[in-house]
Amino acid sequence: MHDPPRAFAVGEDGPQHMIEFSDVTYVYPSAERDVAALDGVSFSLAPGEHVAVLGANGSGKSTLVRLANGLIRPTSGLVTIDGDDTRDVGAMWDVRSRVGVVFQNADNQIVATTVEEDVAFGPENLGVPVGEIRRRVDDSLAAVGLTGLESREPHQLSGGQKQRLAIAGVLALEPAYLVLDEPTSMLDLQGRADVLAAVEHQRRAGRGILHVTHHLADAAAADRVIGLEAGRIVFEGPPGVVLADEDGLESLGVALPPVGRLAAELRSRGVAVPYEAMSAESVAAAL
Amino acid sequence: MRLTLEDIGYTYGEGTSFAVRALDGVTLSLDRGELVLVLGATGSGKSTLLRIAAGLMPPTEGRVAIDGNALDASRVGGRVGLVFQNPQTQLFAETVEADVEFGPRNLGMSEEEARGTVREALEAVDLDPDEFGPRSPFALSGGEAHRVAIAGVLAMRPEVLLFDEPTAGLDAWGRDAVTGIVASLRAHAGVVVVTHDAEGFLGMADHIVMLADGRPVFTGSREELLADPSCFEQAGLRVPDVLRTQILAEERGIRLGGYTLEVVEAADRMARGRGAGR
Repeated sequence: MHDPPRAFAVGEDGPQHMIEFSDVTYVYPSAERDVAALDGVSFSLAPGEHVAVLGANGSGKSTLVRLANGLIRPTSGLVTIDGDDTRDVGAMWDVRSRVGVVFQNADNQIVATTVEEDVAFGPENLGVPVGEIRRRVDDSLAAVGLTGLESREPHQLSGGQKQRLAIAGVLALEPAYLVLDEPTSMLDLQGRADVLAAVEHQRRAGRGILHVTHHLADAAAADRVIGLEAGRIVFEGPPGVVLADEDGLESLGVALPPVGRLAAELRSRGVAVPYEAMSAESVAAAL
Repeated sequence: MRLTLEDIGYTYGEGTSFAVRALDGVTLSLDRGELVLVLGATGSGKSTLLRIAAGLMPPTEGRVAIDGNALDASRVGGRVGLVFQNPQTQLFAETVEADVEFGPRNLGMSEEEARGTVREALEAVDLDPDEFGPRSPFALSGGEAHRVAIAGVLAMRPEVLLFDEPTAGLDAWGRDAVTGIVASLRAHAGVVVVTHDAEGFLGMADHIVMLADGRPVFTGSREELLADPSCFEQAGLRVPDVLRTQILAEERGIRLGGYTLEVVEAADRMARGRGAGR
């Protein structure tokens, strides 16, 4: 069996508690030319931290997600999870249970015929005792606001509810990190807001969040933003600084949403609207 | 060309114990060159409406007609083109050209004529036919594949184009590209866009129908909608951010003298209203 999750307090020589990419390059085996999907990428994510990875389609975002939990292994460089190398086959299950991934399309991640069975599927497969599974299912559904829908059939849920169910399924494995690959891109505004609230709740609970997105409004909610362009990190910093760099964002291929353009127009008219204001509420509050 | 939907009702599983009323009393009409925007939350009946408008299923009540002639599946024959959500998943042929050619050839177009319409269709979605035609549809970016799928429908030269959530799942550039293409297609056809994303299409809509639980809660022009945006709430939709910012600004006592969808105009009015208030 696997070791229980280690305590966060470790000695100086002990493994660092973080997801760490060190000079990671990845070339898909099927690539016609030797084009790297990721090229010399280094960054880290600590527990309790929310990092947004911003980039257009084709920037290498999804490759980064697959590398983060060992679904694929770097062509060169190193990905470590709490010190464990993802190339180490012996650590594979441990790595995957510590890094939970939620993909874009929730339908592809839902396996069971009722909501609670779907959440129980992961821990059942890991041989978690029955009483403990019940607790995890209840906790996970509560964390994403789906309590009361336990016996629903997943296809009866809205898009936003399905995406939150997919997150609950991952939470039931009690991962230390959540990696989200555009979890809101198929959802309407309300669905997006609900999913993002569930994610923020997990960050406050001490989980590290790596949120891959092309929405600037998502990036505004992160502690740190990494800009990815053609497989390389082109900037990294707090949202207020990154979002102020309009030229940088444009070269990244992520456009300001209309409310961001409105904020920019107001700034040019002398109204002090903060750069991380990416919602109607925050822009109106600055007036 | 004029597409009319009169007093449309639809009940799934009619006459059974599990019957669900999906649409009730929906009326709209569309002329060539116009864009009608159908807004509604998930489950509001908007996809059902689109299927009915495409002639894929007859309404339980009411009438669908093109130029006064009742529309049914056997006689649609390429006059109405439907672009589904995530249309790129429907690409199947070995080359982009062959994929786009499939529809018109099925309608009985000659090879020569079909080849011409394929070029036109690819150009209309901003893809160079010489560059993209010979490529595999599976080697395209998400946004490019999306546009190829739209070209596949355009190649049939429909008079009415129906789009189901045309920008879902696209990044900001893909969204801008598809929004621009949809706008330009009004030159060839009447266009209906069904979406929950009011932001992208509201500015170009000639008429707007807003659905809640299958019933129209608003039918009218963009100006009428701006005069009273409260129907967004009735339809369970969030007000687009630029409009919402203006509503919140007025709640804070900043007089704007009416709402606008134009970002620059909205900023002008807010800056002015703010100055006047102090």
